[in-house]
Amino acid sequence: MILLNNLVFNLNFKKAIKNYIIALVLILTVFLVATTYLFREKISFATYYYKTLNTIEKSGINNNINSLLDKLANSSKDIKDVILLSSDNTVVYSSKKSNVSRNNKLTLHYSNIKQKYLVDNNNPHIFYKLVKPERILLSKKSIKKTDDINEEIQNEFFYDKNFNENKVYLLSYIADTTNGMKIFIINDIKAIPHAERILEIMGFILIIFFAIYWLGVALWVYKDASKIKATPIQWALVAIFTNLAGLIIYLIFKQNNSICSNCGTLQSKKNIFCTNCGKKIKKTCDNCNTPLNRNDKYCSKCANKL
Amino acid sequence: MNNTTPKISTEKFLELFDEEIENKCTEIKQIKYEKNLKFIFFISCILILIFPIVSFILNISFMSILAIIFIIQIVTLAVFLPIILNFDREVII
Repeated sequence: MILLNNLVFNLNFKKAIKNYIIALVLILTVFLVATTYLFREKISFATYYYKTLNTIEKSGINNNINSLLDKLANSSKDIKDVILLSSDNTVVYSSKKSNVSRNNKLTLHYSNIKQKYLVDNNNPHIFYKLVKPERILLSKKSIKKTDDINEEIQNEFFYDKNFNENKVYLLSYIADTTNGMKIFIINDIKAIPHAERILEIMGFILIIFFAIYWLGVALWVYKDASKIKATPIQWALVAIFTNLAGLIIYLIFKQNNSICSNCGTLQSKKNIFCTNCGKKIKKTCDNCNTPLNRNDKYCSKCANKL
Repeated sequence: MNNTTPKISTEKFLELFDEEIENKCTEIKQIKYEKNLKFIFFISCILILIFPIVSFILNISFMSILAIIFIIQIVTLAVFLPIILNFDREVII
C-alpha cells in the first residue's frame, strides 16, 4: 500500500497520458500494418469483387469482363476459379482453367446425398457450398483451421466412405437477370499461417493497454480526491469498479462543490468559510450575510443590490 | 509528603476521559476502515493488471468483457447520476 501511495503521488499524470497515447498510437499503427499485411489477399479480393460488382451494375455481364475476372481470380490464392457462364450454364470463360471448369458445362443442382450442397453431375466428387461473399471475406476459416464452416462440412461428410475423394468448395455468384449470365466465384479458403497466433498476441497487448487505462483512471481519481481531501479511497474504489462512469460522476460531484483557493480542499457550495483553513471562500450579502452566487446582482434573501 | 491533588476514584477518573476515549476509538475504527478499503483498492489494482493474462489463458472473448463493462457503465450512470445531480440532498460518498 505504501507502494501504491508512492506510485500515485510521484506519478506525473500529464506526462504518463502523453506517453500512453504515443505508445497506443504506435501499437495501433503496428496492428494496422500487420493486419493489412496478413489479410492482404482478402483486401485485394474485396477490392476486385466490389469493382466487378460495380462494373456489372453499370454495364451488366458480358464477354468484355474477362480481364476483371482474371484480376479477381488472381487476387487471392484461395480462389480456385472464377467462371463466366452463359444462361444455359455453358462455360464461356474460366480464369484459372481449373478442373471444375474442364467440361463445357457446369450445371449445378442440390445433391441427393448431401442436400445442403450443390453438385455437378460431371464432377460428382466436388461439392459446392453456397455462401454469400461477405462470408468468404469474414470467415473465421482464414484464421482458424477449425471453424464453423469446416465443422459443418466435416459433420456432413464424416461417415462418407469417399470422404477423402470428396472436395467441398465455397461458391458465391453474381447473376445478371437481363441476359441470364452468371459469374461463379469458387473458393477454397485456407487458414493464413500464424494469423490466429498473431491476432491473439495483438489482442493481448490491446487488453493490457485497456487495463492500464482502467487503472490509470482509478489512480488519477485517487490522487485528485486526495488533493482536495474528498474521501479519496472511496472515490478510487468507485472509479476502479465503474471506470469512465465513476470518473464522470466524480467530476460532476467536484463541479457541484467548491474548492478552497487557500488550501485546495473540497468545500460544500453552501460553506462561507473553508472548514479546513478558515478562509472566507464565498461572497456574502453586506446587509444580511447570505451567501451569494458569482453572477448574482441582488441578494436572494433581502434583495439588496450588490 | 503532602499531596495537593485531590484523590478521585478510578471510575470517576475514567469517566472524565470517556468522551476522549470514545473519540479515539472512532478514530481508530475509521483508520482501520480506511486501511481495509485501501487494501481492497490495492488488490483490485493488482487484479486488473492480472486480468489480461487470465483472460488470455482462459480464452475469454474480449467482446463479452466489453459488453459487461458497457452494462456496468450504463447501470452506474443510471443509478448515480440522479443522486449526484440532486444538489439539495447533499449526498456525500
